[in-house]
Amino acid sequence: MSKLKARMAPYAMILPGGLWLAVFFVVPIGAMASLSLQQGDLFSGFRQTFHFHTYVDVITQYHDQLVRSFLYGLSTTIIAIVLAYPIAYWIATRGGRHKSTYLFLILLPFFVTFVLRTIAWQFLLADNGIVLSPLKDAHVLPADFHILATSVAVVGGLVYNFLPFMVLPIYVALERIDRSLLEAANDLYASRSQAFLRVVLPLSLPGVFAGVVLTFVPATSDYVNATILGGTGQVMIGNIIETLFIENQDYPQAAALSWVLLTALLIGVFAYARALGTEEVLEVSAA
Amino acid sequence: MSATATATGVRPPAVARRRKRRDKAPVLHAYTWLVIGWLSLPILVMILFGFNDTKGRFNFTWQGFTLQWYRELFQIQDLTTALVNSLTIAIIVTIVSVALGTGIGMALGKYRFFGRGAVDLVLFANIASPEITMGTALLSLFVTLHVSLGYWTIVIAHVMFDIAYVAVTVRARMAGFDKSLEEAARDLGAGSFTTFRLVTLPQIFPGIVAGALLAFALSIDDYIITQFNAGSTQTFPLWVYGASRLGAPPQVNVMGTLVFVGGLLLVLVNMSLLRRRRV
Amino acid sequence: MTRPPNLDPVMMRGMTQPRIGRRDMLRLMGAAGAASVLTACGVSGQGDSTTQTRNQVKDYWSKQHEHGVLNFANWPLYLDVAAGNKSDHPTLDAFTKQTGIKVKYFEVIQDNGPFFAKVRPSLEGGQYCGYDIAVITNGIFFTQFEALGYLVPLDQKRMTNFYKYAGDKFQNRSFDKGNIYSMPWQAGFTGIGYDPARTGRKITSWQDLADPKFSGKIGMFGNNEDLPNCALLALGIDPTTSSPDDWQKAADWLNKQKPLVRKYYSQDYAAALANGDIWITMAWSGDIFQLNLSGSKLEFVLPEEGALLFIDNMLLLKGVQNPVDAMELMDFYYDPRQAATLAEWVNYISPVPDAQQVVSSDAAKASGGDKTYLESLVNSYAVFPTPQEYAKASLGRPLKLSELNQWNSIFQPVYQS
Repeated sequence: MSKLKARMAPYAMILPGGLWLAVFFVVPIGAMASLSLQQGDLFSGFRQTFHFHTYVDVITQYHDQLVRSFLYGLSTTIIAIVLAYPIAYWIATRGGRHKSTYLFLILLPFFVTFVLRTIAWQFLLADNGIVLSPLKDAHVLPADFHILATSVAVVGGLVYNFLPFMVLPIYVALERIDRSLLEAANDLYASRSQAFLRVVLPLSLPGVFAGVVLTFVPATSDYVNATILGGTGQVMIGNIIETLFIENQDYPQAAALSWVLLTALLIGVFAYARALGTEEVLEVSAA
Repeated sequence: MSATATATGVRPPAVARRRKRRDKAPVLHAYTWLVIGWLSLPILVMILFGFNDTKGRFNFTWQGFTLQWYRELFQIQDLTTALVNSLTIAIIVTIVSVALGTGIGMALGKYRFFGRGAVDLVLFANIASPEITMGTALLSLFVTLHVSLGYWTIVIAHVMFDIAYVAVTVRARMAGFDKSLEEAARDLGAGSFTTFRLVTLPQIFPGIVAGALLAFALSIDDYIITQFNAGSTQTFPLWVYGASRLGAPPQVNVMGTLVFVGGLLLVLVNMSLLRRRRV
Repeated sequence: MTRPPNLDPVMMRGMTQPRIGRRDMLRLMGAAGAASVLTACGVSGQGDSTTQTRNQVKDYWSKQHEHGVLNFANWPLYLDVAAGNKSDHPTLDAFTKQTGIKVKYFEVIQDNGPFFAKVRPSLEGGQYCGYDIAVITNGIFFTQFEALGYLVPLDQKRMTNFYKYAGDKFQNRSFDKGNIYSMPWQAGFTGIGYDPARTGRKITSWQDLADPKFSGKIGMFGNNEDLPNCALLALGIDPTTSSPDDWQKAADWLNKQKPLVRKYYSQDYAAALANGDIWITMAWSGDIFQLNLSGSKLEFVLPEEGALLFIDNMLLLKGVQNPVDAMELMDFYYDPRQAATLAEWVNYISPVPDAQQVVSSDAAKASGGDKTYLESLVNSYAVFPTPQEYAKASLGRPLKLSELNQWNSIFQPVYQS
């Protein structure tokens, strides 16, 4: 009896939360798949017709924005790795007693609403704003120079908003490296760069991968940065989905596009996870 | 955001430092501070312009120092309502998602069972799904079922994306969990509730606190998923976004500043508590 | 008051199941509304069904009572506020004093589309969406609210001030013939706003928005109503009678102009214009007027090819809980005194021409800065346009639901790329 009870224990613990996720996460994603294969409009209603052509339509029609979003997401991720790795490395190896203080400072932006942070950048980067104006007055920059309404502004905003997601997992991975390994490398007359390349870097990769997941996904699907900091030609796939859903009420197209985005991202992410073992990625990202 | 967890629950390095003299890597040191400066810049702007004595509708040129907006903080009723909504929603969401997520996290950390892989997969998919997809998918469900959007649909949505984070944080904490302690307690005659309260809970408590902070932070900051499922209920980020299109009033900066300071205090208190516990 | 929509069963059925069919849909429309839908659908009107609907509407209103409360959804910064306290609205106070009805005021409408998306699940489910009155612009979303049966026909008997004081333009609106569903709140022009110090010359035409000299400093509206209609005007095409061929021409013009455009804006264009990110932009009259009050030196023009007039309308949403109170409020704003107070604050076009007299006498009584300000209002295009100015403005292309897809697929790629 108690053995049965023990065997049921994990299920009992998972049930409430699992139900919640099933009803409000799994089912809606499925419902959306069904919606994407319907046809109709608000007035005559939507009917399930298994019209797979909608997928072809949205991919052809919004091909540019899809590609752009992935490019922005990719650039954001790469820039974030380049910016974040040295910081994570420095804090993990030289942070000393102040490690948590430094991490805390890196996290500061998270105490300000995402939207407010992005708006603050819009203010900072205005053509005649407090950053560009002095540089223009000093003739460092030409008078018609601008950052807002360019891809630089959008990617910059994305990097800004998601950088801490990259620093943290890398830091955790570096922090976990057993110091004796480094000493062993030292004892074996490895140079510092060799030790770094052969020992530290490979061991920190799971952190980098976790950071990639946590940065690439939200950056690729974001539309707030593009709306606030972008301009003509910086529309991202998130903007399109928003418009299809809210302005056009073209639910099948919106749902299809959402699915395209979801599967493209998840396939990439799961491929990563496979290579590493899901467990590991998740653990590092949450630790 | 998982970050809060790390900041609060950093474990001591596996092996204590042995090399005594180390170079300080001045370039990297300066670089780290440079990035911290860059990260803080918008925050400074936000705080500063909460003190701006602006006359017109737009708050983007410095017109002198004033405390007026702090005095008139609650004068914009809709903004106040939005902030109160954000706070109460975040509190409810934190409680619910901690309750639900801890169970999942503990089960995953403690047991091997059939279906574990599936649970893992769902958690992972949940964390890795783009917000816009989860937001629109949930909206499709609500629309199909004719559920009116509002306060409670926001709560549902936030709990939905918070559970996984709590579960994963708690599970990470379970990694070093010592089952034999529980068995020992039971051998000594403790009931299962007593065992949980006296043995299990203290061990995973830091994980739960970290998960709770994370859940709270994610909820109070969420824009995208909320936007789709809010109906006409306003939250702080939604209100700010709307107002920013027309020129957000300085009270927005003031409230942003206060939320910032509040969050700061919360984490600092948590950090010092953890430190004391460790000592 | 406890059961949300206190409607009679027949009407209820129509209202909660708008998908059932054209016939049922007719039941929930007002008489003229039904007739116009019939024409739109290419069905000839049937006398008896029209009379039947009219009777149902009458029947509905005869059963309604005042509740003493009211929920009012509006756009931000679209109602007068007291000098010292931003949550205090003098005209609402006056209304409460006069009628005893307490008004809860919500600034929840950021745009027509998002608001529609917000309330649709409630309306579709036959529940009260939380608001009795909402303010919706003429155009696509007004049409959709009406066609989906989300609007409740007004009680024509409670519109005394409206029929007495509303201007001609506002009593005869092509999109709501017979004032079945709505009364205008305020209106405005879509024209061009610019900073003369930066453009260095006077702007007169829509074509100026395609001047390469302003490359990168041009703002356009990223929406599927103002943008297409302005492009049609720029090409000298009358939007109201434009054909799909004309739409394509307009889209071609916009695509050619696109490389010069900095951004397709929503309401955030105003801040960008004021801080110099853009020099010249499509603009709404009242915004430019207000920016100038806060220190900018901008100009607003109604281009020579014609401008657009938009009308924001108060309407009753399906499931309305306090319809009588709502009617009273709507009519209350047609009192010239109230209309004047409102206009003095929001600086958009007042649907009440007689308010001009009131503002002018307020100006006479005021002194100093207030006086100059009120005097500037009296003769402003932004608040009390002249007949010539009205004559220049078009309401834009009225779109049938069947045309919407084509229209969107021609114009959305312009600003969504």
